[in-house]
Amino acid sequence: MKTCPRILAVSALSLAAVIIFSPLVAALTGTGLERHALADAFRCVAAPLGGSSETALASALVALLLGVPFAILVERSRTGLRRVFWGLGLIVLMVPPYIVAESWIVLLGPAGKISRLIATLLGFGPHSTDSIQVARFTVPGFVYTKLSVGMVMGGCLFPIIALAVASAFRRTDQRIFESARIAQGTRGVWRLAAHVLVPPALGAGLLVFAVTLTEFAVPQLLRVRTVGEAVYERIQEGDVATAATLGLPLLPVVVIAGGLGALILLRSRLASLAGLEGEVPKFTGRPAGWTGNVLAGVMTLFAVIPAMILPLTSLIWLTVTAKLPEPSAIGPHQVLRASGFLPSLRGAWELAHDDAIRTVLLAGTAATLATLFAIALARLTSKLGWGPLLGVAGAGLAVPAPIVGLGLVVLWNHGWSAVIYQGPAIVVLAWFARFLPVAIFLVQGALTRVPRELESAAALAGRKPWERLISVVLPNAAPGLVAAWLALYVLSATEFSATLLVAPPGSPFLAPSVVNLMRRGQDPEIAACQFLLLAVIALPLVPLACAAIHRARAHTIHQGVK
Amino acid sequence: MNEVLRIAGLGQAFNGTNVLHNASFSLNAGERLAVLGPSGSGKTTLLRLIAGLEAPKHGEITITGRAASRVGAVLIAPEHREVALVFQGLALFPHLRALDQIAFAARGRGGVKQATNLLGRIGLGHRANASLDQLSGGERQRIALARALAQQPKLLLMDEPFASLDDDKRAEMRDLLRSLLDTTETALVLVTHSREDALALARQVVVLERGEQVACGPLETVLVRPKHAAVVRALGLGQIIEGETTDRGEVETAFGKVDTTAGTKPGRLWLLVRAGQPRIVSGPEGIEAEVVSLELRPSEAREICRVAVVRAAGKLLRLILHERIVSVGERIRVRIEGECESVEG
Amino acid sequence: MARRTLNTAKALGTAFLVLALAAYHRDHPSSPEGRPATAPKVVLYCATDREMAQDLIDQFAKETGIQVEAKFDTEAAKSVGLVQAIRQEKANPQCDVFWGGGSFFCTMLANDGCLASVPNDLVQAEETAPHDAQGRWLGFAAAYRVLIVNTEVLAPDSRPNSFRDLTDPRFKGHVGIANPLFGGMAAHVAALFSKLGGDEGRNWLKGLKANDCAICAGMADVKNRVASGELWFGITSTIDAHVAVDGGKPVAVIFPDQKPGEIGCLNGYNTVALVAGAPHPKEAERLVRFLLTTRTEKILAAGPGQNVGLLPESVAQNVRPAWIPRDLREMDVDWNEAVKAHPAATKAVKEILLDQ
Repeated sequence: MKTCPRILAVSALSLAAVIIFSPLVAALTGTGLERHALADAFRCVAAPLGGSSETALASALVALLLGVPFAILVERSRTGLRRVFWGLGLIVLMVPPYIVAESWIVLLGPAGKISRLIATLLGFGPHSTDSIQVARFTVPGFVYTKLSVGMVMGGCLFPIIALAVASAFRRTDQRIFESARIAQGTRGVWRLAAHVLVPPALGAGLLVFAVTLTEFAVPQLLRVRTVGEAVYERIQEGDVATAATLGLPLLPVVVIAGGLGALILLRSRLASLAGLEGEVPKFTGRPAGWTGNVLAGVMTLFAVIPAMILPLTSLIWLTVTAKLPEPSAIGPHQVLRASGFLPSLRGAWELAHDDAIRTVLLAGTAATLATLFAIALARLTSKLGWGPLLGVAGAGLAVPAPIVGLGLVVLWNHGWSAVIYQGPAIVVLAWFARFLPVAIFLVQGALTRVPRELESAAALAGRKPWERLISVVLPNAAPGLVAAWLALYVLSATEFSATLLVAPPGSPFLAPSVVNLMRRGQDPEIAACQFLLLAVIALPLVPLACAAIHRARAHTIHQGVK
Repeated sequence: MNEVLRIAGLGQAFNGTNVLHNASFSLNAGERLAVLGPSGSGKTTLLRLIAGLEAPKHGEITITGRAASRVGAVLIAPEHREVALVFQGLALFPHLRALDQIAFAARGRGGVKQATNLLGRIGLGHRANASLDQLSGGERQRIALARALAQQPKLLLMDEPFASLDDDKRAEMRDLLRSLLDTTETALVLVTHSREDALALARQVVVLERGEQVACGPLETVLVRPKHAAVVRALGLGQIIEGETTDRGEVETAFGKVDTTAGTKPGRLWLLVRAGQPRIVSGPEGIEAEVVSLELRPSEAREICRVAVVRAAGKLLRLILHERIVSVGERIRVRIEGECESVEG
Repeated sequence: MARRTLNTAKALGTAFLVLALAAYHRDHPSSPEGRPATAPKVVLYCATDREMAQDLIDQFAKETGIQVEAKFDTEAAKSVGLVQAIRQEKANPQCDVFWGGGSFFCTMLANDGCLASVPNDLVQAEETAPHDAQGRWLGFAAAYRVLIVNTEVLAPDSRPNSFRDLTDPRFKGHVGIANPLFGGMAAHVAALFSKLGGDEGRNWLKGLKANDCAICAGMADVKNRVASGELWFGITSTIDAHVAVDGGKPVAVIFPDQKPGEIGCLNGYNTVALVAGAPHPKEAERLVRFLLTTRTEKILAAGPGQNVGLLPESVAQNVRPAWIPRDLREMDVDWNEAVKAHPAATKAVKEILLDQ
């Protein structure tokens, strides 16, 4: 009886594996792997692997330090404020880490605007009135350290921890804390809280660890040597196969860390889901008073400093302080140079609006296709109990972006596949190869959170399997599915390493253009391009926000009518 | 009679452990069956097998004359069995409002009109647009029931539907269920811990104990002649005490000799002591026992029923105090009068 | 409610599909004009900045009617992206013309058999402008490696004037170069090794290490760090240096090693090459011819690239930005030798500078 679903599940799994791993395999096998070079390369990868691991560990710790108190304080705050705090926290996930890293250098680097100011205020400034001595004053930098990479990545990824902890908090019947308090006072409450909240925090921390291991752009910018740099070196030498091999040690590490994290998250979910079917916990504990709300606000501001406030400050600083000398270059690109922010924005839009529109549409298409495919894959495998197999897909996150790009070139640059290689499909394939594991993870989580009995009830009500999916499972998994779509959209829209390799000539995308302008542009140009990229990323939030507001109003009207 | 359900030798196992073994019974249209048993006895598993949500390891299920499940296979999918199930946790759809919950199941069977009608019959016509979090527990219970009936099923399965309700609300729900079922030919299989529910709603009973079916039959028969201790406990028919048949054919218990209907085979046996059989006696008769606690029970009459819990030879027994007043710690003499039926243990 | 959700999802999905299809079929030319489906085209892989090349691309398309489908690299990709793409596409080339930022990578590609020889008359026309002996790449539009100096921290009399000043202990901890394993700086180090010899090259690297030289993400990063005051000076290109000057940053540009007997500054000129087996050879040749003109070099000189004309006519007309001096002493580099010296240079960089 399970033959048909089994065949479908095997086919879907195979397709996912091909999409995710075929570029790596092509890079390994299609470009000439030499054994002696391989041995030599592995000898050299230990140090960068250590660098990658240390930064990942720092990132996980920072994310825990920010995410756990954020979740606990915000969850106890007033409902309206809670939405604002969560909105701010989740926006952090949409800011590309390399933009955050750039802002850290500008503000907190040895010559950072903020670091210098603080050092001067604290009395560590130059003790001379000589202008040269004053100008020479720099703050001993921590920006170019592994800790700094960890803080940047932790600041960008803390919402993952916060979501896991908040989810566990919401699922918990708050009466257990009250009974712990009665039995053992505050100590009892803390012990119980640790028991309830530590496993999901730990699980999410492992996920942050795994994601940071695979980050290449931020360590390069902050001069920390990681596996990514070793990979680029080999590519530069023309040895793509060895470069691909260097990334291999990361794959099992990412799978194990991510898998452990997911497993801990899964097991930490209270078994009381069955009891909560159709029930909303009535006992949600005492809401925080004024002090609690203020604390939650302060914690929110603190948590979003690394990945939102600093980049925003840098953006505004660049815009406001740009000098405006006479432009010396001719041609339409002078509009971007040495102009104010708004003219630069107009100029950037003129130059890159095609890129922006192309990016929005293709990223949206890729996100939609990836989410749909992940839904099908998660459904088919869960029916057969093969869900854990999908964890192996996480290894795809560890494949370096340029390897993905070059592997796709090897794979698809043939006469018979010109339709794919010379069109936007190749870019979608690059994004799928890189980010489909993220979609699978988020979608799988969203679908498993829908209680099985709901689907059973729908089955008994006469619904066929696909009808049950559409009418019951998807509506109840909607928030998680929307999150998966958004994650895919943002990741695809901001990806540049693989994109620039495979993007068809004449069809540039926004992220590579923006990144290049950021490196080579003037301050107003940089600010305008960052703003453009962030606006593109935030675009889908507009209809979502409208839908949420409309839904809230409709609910209020219903309540009013009642 | 129109047979709706027949199960034969039904069994299920998880991870090598038998959770249900050799369950067999049948049910005709309009009949109502209660499934009783302690937690973990396999009641929910039985319902899930009947609903087609799992394939059995042993046995067969026939629904309305059609083979529905056999070993390792679900032959008729749940959506085609004309069976409705009210889950233990209700399994209401969080994203749907009250009317939509019912309309969901009423699709193709009268749709929104039927749903509105049912909503009115359960007394919630004014709550059509309420979301789940705006409904009380009792209201959600009614909606779950109405959703099940909206399917116009041949067989209604209910898994401890009233477990979270207080006594008053339970009684209300029982009345409502009866009123809804009386107008249809829907057969009912009701899984419950509550003997009041079973006695009020069912005429057939099945008792499960550790996955085994220990009793099956008309409720009246089972009430009169329970053959298993589990039945006694499930239906609250009395107390079970342990006895030993001597070589002389007498039955000795911790509370003295007892007359029994059992045969004279030597060995251990379990005896059913019904209410009213244990009595306080005076003089040398009976066995000395210590009163360890006193309980009060409501009775149908105006008076209060006082019950003493006594201990002798380490065993406890409850006896109704009619006029005698005793206090805790007092030593009294007790005897079990009348015949005690032996039951399987 | 579920039906409403489904209908909403259907409407959104349909709208999105329509837009996606519209975008797919929409013309997205490199030039502003729309393009008919049958217009001739040429595929250009351009390692130089889009800002610099876009004007020329638009003009070429306008004049010839040949649409240019261009693909650009980013500094963030360490300038290896397009070079590697051409290598991997060798069996089925997609690119017609490679516009490179320096002859180092062109030489590598030529040695790998990825490039075709240009017509002889173009080679002849190069005269003294840099070019491959076999005509597989031609140089034009110079961009020099310079020292960018923060004027607020270094008074005029204490500013460096040689690449060796990067090892001067006076500037310890305040100098920077782009990562010498990648891109233009890799070529620079290889050129130094081939020019000065392995020993002197290694000594220079040791000096950098002893001087706590910062290894930046790229030449633009060096420019930014110097402009902010984090570094006092570093090696960058005239393109990046000009961005900082034009943006009003407190920097000065120094052309290093100009005294007699010194090695001069490295000329990281633009290069153009035909890709072997290209799909549109005729159009490719037209584009190459268009690029190798004084008019092109004038546009590049006046644009963001601030390049110096290298073609004979451009030299005669002194095509250069006003701020770049004439008669610069240029480093005389045999790029074939530089490519050969690259592995040893890379090994030295890893061992000495990066502690690997």
